[in-house]
Amino acid sequence: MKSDAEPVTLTRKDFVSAQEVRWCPGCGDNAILAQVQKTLPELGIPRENIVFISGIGCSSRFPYYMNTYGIHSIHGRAPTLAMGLKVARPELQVWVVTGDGDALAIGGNHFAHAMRRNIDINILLFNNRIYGLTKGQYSPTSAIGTRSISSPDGSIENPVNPVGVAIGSEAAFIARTVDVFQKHMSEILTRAANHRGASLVEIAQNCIIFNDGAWAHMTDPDNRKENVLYLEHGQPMRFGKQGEKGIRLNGLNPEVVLVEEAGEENLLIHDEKAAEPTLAYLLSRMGPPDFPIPVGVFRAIDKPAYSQRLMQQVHAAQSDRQPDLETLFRQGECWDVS
Amino acid sequence: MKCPSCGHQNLPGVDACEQCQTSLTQEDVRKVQTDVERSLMQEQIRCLQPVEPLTVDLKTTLKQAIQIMRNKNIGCVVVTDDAGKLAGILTERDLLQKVAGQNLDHSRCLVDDFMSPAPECSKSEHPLAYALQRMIISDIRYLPLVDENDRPEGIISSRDVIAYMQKRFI
Amino acid sequence: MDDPVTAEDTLDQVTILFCGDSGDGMQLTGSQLTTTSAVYGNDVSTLPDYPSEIRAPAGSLAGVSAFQLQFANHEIHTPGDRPDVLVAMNPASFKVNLYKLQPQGTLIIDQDAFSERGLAKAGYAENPLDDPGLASRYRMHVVPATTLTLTALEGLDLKRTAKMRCKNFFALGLVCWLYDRPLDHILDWIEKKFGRNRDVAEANRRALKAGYHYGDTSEAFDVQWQVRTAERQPGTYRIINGNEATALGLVTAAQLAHKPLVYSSYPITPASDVLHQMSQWKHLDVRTIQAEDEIAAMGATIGAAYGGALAATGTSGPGVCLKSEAINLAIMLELPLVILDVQRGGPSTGLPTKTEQTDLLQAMFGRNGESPLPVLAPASPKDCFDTAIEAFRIAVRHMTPVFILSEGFLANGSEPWRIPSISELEPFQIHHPDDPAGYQPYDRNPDTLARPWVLPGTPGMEHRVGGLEKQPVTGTVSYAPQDHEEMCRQRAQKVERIAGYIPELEVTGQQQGDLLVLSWGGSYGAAVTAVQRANRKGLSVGHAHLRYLNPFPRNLGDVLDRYDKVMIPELNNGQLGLLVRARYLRDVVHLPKLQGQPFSVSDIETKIEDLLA
Repeated sequence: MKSDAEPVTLTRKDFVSAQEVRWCPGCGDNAILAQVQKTLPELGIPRENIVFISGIGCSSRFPYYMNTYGIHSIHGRAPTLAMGLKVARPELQVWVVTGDGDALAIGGNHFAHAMRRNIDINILLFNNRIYGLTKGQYSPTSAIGTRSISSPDGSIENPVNPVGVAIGSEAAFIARTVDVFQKHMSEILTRAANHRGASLVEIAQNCIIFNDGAWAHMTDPDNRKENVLYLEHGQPMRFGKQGEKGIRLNGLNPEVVLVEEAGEENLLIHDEKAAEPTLAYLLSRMGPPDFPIPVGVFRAIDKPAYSQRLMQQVHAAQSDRQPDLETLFRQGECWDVS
Repeated sequence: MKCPSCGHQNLPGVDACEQCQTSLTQEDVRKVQTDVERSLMQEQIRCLQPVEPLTVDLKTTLKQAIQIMRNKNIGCVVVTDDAGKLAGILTERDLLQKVAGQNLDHSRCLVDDFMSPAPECSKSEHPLAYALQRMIISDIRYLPLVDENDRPEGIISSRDVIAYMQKRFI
Repeated sequence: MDDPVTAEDTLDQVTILFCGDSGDGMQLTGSQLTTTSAVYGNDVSTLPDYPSEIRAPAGSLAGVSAFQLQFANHEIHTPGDRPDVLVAMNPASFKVNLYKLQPQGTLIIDQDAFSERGLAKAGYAENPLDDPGLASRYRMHVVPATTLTLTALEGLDLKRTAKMRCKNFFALGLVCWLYDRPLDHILDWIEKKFGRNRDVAEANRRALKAGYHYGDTSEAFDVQWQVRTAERQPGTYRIINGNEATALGLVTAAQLAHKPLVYSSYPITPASDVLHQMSQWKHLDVRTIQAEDEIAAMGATIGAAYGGALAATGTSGPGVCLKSEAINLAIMLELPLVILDVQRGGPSTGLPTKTEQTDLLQAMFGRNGESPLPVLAPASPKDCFDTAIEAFRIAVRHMTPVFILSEGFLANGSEPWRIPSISELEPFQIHHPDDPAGYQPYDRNPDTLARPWVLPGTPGMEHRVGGLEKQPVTGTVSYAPQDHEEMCRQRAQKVERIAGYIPELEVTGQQQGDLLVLSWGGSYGAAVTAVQRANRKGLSVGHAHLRYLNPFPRNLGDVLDRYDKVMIPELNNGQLGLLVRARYLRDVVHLPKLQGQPFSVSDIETKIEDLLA
C-alpha cells in the first residue's frame, strides 16, 4: 500500500539494524534480508510507518535485523497481531514474516483467515520444507518420505503447498519467488507491497544445514531454465534453455509441449487477473518431475481490504449517529430521582 | 425473524425480541401443522402394537429358517445370540440376494452366514417418526425393537406403519 | 371503592420468583417489574435463570425459564435468598422451582396450564395441586390466568396463540396489585414498544389491567402489601446488567483517553453479549473483530495495543486457557490491554450458563514462567462499569495487561445504576514519547517501572520487541543470567507497586473483633448483607471486600490482624484463601460453594454463627 506522507529518499542502510545477523552462513534468509532491505527504500514509504511482525522460527528472526518497528511474537500467531494492528492503524504498512511450520502447521488457522479476510498485509513465507530452528523435523511442506530427526523412517504425510492453501483461502494476491532470484524477488516484493489486501509471497528458501538442496532443481544455474516457469501476465507460458518448451491446456490438464510443434498461439496465456483462481490452481500443482515450477505472480485481483471495509462502516456510523457517550448511557429506560 | 407481538424485524435466532423483549424461543421451533405430523412426532412405536418376533439362534439352519417363514407366512426371522441379544435378521431380501439361485445345501448352511448382522433396531417408546426415518434411510422393511438389555421384544414392518396410517387418517 | 376486607401491611423487602416456559415471557415480566419497582423508588436486584436448552419443547422441564428479583425500601445487595412469592405459569416450572419458596410463602399458579397435557410434559402422574399438604404449607392462589386473559381480550382481532402470549402481562398486573405498584410505567412501555401493532398493544394493556383488577376484586387476595421507597442519591437512573456495564466502561475509558477501542473476541457464553454490544457502537470509534478463535482474539488485542489503541478482549474460563501463551507475550511486551474473563462453571466446558469464581488462580498463575499481572474483580453489576475503566487506567499507567474477573451472576444480573456525567469522570493521562534522544524501549519510569509507550509511525524511534528475554533498559534480546533475573524482578515489582496507586481496603461492621468476612467478586452482596444481619444480632463481625486481587491493597495484612478469625466465602475450593494464606502466613476458614449458584445470605450467615458459637 502507498502512504500519503511526503516522498522520502531512503537507502538500504536506513533499514539495516544494529543487530548482528545470526543466521547460518549460506542460509537463504540472508539473501531475502538483503533484497528486502534493498527494495523497501524504493517503495517511498516513510520508514516509521513500516512494521514487521514475525512468529517463531529461523524466518522469524527477521524483524530484529530490520531497522523498522517490529514484533517477534509467538509461534503461528503473527497474522493475528497484524490483524489487530491494521484495525487500530490502517495506514501502517505491515509485513508478516513466517515459515512453512509457523504458517502451515501451528498457524494454519490464522494464515487462512488472514487471507480470507483480505487483511492488508504482506505475508512473506520462507518455505524451506523443514523445521530449522528446532533442529530439523519435517514440516507440512516436506515431501512424503522425507527422512528427518523426527521421521527416521521417512515422513508418512502428504505435504501441502502454500499457493494451494492460499487459493483455498480466497487470497487475492499470490506469488512465488526464490531466495537466490534477486531481481525477481525484488519485483515480487514491490508488487506485493503495492497490492491492497493480503499479499502472499512464498519464498523458496534453502536451509543449508537441515535441508540443503531442497530447491536445487530450481536454483542450480545449469538447470534453472529447464525447471522454472517464469509467469508473466498476458504472456504465453514458455520455458526451457532456449524457451523451446511451453504449457498447453489439454481439457482440464496442462501439458508440456514443444512450442514449434504445438504452435505458440496454442500455448496457455497467463492471466493474473482472472476472476476465478482456476488457472492459478492448475499452476500451483505444477512441479517436478513432469512440469517446471512456476514462479511469479499467480493471482492479483482487486478486493476491498478488511480494515477498509471496517472503517467504511465506522465512518458511516459516525455520520449517522452522534458519537455521544451521554446518549449511550441512556440506552433503555431511564428515570430521574430528585 | 419478525416478532409476533410488536412486528419488529429481529436477527435470526435471537432469544427475545430486541424491541419488546417477547420471547422468541418458541416461535422459530418448527411447529407441528397437521394431525399426521403430530401423530408421527408424538405417538410411540408401540401404538403400532408390534408383535413378538419369531426368533432363531445363530446355529439354526437355512432349511429350518425357511420352513418357519413359510409356515408362519412371515417375511423375516430375528436371530439372537447365546445371551438372547439381537444378533441379526434374516429377511426375504436376504434369501433372494444371497440364497436363491445358489447351489447350496440348505440343511447345512447356518443363518449366521446369511443374515444381515447387527441390524438397525429401535425401542417401542421412540416416536413413530424415528421408525419411518430408520426404514427409509437404511432401506429396510423390518425394524426389530429391543428392550434395555438389547433383547428383541417386538418387530414392526413398513406394512404395519401403512396399516396404522390408513386406520388413523383415512 | 372502599373494601373493608383489604388490609394494608408494610414490608421492608420482597423477593419474587417468576417462572414458566421459555415461551411464557418470564424474563419480560421480571424485567418490567424490576424497572417499575426501581422507578417507584425501591432498590432492586435481579437473578435471571435461563433455560438450559433454549429450544426445548414447550412445557418440558428443560425449557423452564425463571426470573427472581428482590425489591426493598433500603439498599439491598442480593436478589434475595428464598422467594417470598412464587408465580408458576406451568407445571414444569412449578416442579423445578417449588422447593425454593419460603414456608408459608405465597404461591400463585396458572390453573389452566395444569391440564393433563401440561402435567404429562412435566412428568407428573397426578396433579400436584390436588395435594392437600400444599395448601397448608403455602398460601396458595390458583388463578385461571389463561382463561381470564382470553376473556379480557375478547373481541380483539388476534389469534388465540397471540392472546395466550399475553398471560404474562396478566401475571404482572396481579403482582403489581399485590405490591401496590402503579401501572403507568408499564402502560407507557407497552405503548412505546407495541404502538405500531394496535391490537397487540391493546391486548397487553387489557391483560395487565385484568390481572390488576383480579387482585383488587378477588376475595382470594385480601392483603395488599406496601414496600416503601428507598433513599436514593438524586440523579438519572437506569437498570443495567454486568455485561452492559462492562461494555460501557470499556468504551468510556477509550473516550476519556481519546482513542479508538479495539475489542476482539470469540463468541463464548456468558461473554458474547459484550461483543454484540460493542459491534453496535461504531459511531464511537469502537472497532470489533470477531476472531477465528480465542488465540487470534488475544493476538489481535496485542497488535491493536501495540498500534496505540485501547485494546480489550473478552472471554470465559476455557478461553483464558487458550489465550495463556498470548497473554504471556503481552506481559513480555509490557503493553497495556484488558482481558475480561466472565467466569462460569468449569472445568472444561463445565456449566456454561452457571456462575462460579474458579479462575482466580488461573488468572494469577496459568502461564509458563514468572508472569505476574494485575487482577481486578467487580463486586456488583454496576461496579463492572467502574472496574472496566479502572482496568484500563492501570493498564495504561503501568504498561501491563490487566485481568478483569467478572462472573455469570454479575453479567446477567441487574440493578439500578446512577448514570454518571462525563465531567465527573477523571480523564486519562497518556503520553506517547516522540523524542528519539536517549530513547530506550525498556527504560522504565522510576515510580511505576512502566516502559514508554512509543507508537509505530513515530519517526526516529524504530525498535523491535518480542517474547524473548531481554536486557534491562535497552530491551535487546539477552539470555544472560543476571539479565533474566533482573527483568523478572522488574516485572514483578512493577505489578507490586500498583498497590501504591489503589485505594486501601475498607472495613464495614466491627472494625476489629472475633471474625472478619473477606469476600471478592459477586459474593459481595450476600457477604455484606450477612454481616449486617450478624451485627444486628450483636455479633462481633466485620466485612471487607476485595476489588483488587493482585496486588492486594497495601493494608490487607493489617486488617487481617485485627480479627481472631478470617472467613472467606467464595464460589470455588478456596482460591483466594490459598493466596491469602501464602502471602500473610495466616490461617483462614474456607466457605466454598460449587453449585453454579451464587451465595445466599443465609449460607454466609449460618457459617458466621457456626464460627462464633
